[in-house]
Amino acid sequence: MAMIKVEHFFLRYAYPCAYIKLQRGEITDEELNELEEIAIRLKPIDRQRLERVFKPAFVQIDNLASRMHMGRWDYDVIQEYFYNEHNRNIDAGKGIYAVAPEVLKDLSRVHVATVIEKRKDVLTVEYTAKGGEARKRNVFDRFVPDIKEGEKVRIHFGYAVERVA
Amino acid sequence: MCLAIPGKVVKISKGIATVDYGKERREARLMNPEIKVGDYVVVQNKLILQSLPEEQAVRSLKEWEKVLERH
Repeated sequence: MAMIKVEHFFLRYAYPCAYIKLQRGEITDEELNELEEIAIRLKPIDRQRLERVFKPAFVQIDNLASRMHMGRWDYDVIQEYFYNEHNRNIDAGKGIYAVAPEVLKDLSRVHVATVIEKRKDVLTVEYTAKGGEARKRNVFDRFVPDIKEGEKVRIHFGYAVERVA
Repeated sequence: MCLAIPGKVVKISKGIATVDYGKERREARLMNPEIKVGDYVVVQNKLILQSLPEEQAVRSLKEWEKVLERH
């Protein structure tokens, strides 16, 4: 997935979180659907819109970018954020994770998972949760439609975001 | 219904589960044959992602109120 633009890389990881914003009335059904369409079809989207919709994430990304001596939209920064920093923030209880139930923390963490079954547009994946427990989850394959059983993917909430080589 | 808020399966028919959230009921695709009526599940985009133990689900429901106040 390294070939896609950094805005789309960000959106594919961040998109599943937008459902919480829908629940809170911060975005509409139409905007949620549009964001998914942009993420799947890699349609143009401007950075200011992403920064508005996912404002809390950019507070954390700016902290990380400062430590990395890079800008918030540097590919290395966004990648490091979703591959490592996001999980570290959850484990450290930052922001909403100070009070979040474990089920939300587990869904919010980015996991490397193995595809054990593929049915229509849904993958059943297996991953190791924090603490070492093996868990299964169903996720949509919309961002990795050509993925096959046995391959590894990174998952975030109910979506397989990208193939892991 | 918000992502990651647990709901209770109250009906299963032809691969579709009816999930009760207290104030409302929603339908979701059921891909796991081991999930039965009475189980607690989490749903995103009308797909059941996974089930979770009742004790954890009940605790989560209480904790969710704090999350939604702050997020």
